[in-house]
Amino acid sequence: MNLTEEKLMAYADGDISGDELHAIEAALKTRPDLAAFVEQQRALRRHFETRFASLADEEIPDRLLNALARTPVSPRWRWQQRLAHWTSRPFLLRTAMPAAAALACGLVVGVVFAPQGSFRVDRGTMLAQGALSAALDTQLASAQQASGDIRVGISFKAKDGRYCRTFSEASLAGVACRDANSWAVAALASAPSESGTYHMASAMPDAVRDTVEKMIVGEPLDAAEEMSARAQNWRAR
Amino acid sequence: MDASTEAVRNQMAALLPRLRRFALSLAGDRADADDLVQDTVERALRNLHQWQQGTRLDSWMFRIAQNLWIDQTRARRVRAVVAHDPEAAEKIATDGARDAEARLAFADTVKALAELPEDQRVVVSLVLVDGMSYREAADVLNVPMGTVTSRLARARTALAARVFGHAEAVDL
Repeated sequence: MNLTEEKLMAYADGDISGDELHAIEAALKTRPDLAAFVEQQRALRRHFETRFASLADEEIPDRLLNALARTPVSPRWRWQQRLAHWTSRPFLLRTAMPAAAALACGLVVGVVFAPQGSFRVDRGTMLAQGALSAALDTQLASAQQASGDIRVGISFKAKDGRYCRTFSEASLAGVACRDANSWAVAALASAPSESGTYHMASAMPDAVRDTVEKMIVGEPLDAAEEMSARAQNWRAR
Repeated sequence: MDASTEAVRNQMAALLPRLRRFALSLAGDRADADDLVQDTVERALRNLHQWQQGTRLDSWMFRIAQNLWIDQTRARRVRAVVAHDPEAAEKIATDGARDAEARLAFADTVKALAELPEDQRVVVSLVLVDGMSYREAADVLNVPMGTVTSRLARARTALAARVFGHAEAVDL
């Protein structure tokens, strides 16, 4: 090993390990000048530790605690959290076992595309129908009714002017935007649960989150904006 | 209301003592240090989406604090130069030290730190004051570990001379 002052300083800082550590310790036994150097570097470290030590035990000034408690977090963070956590609601408990069974059998496509299912394809566009379409029309994300399997997450205005809403149904999550007469699905993905069971918190699928991030203008609608958008049937003005 | 945001605020609260100590070693003055910590907390919360969940919150906040401090220091220097006031420009480096002289326990240490170039001062604050490993300090600063090692070595030689009156040297 090439012994340098930098290495000896790192040794004094406890930042050396393995073979280098043994080599330095061996060298220190035979070289008093190296030992003196290391001792001075350790004293320097102690010097700084003790000079600043008292501050760690001091009471934190109120203005810092206030800044911590009152500064609003970024809107983007807030809606990312909402997106990430909205599927972790109790409704999943009730649908847990049937949904898991359907998925395990690979039946989900059949279930959701059945005539009474939530989706149909019309001229190359996937549209919401049935209960999902109704939920997108009426459910308010901000005042979530815990009814049925369908849950609306956030509502937002897209760059193209349409209103869009995220939703989850059983183990699926997606985002749909309001066209003239229907809800067009912009992204749909399965939402795997973190623990492998369906009653635990589910993460928002990346595909859906990325789609929302690309489409959204500003922040998700608040409760009043949602009511107003619903009153105009989610049609862009 | 939002559990994940509350959890982050709590984690930040736990970091405040370390951040204050780090800020004091940079700013050299308690009021300035707490200004820096306050700015750091506010900026972190307002830009929380920039923190990658799963990565260390402390590294991210120390990075914000050191960036703010560097920016502020440079801005003050530019203002002094623009004002054609070389004396003011000269004074800036030791401002913190002068304020701290009243607190005898700190005076020499703060002065010694104030005489270091900014990049060395930051490394000393991270490793010698906060106690980070070289790896952790490199992560905060987004620089290779070798850069931390060499900045720290230059700083230590200057500090040893300043604090002990002489720096031990070795013939390798």
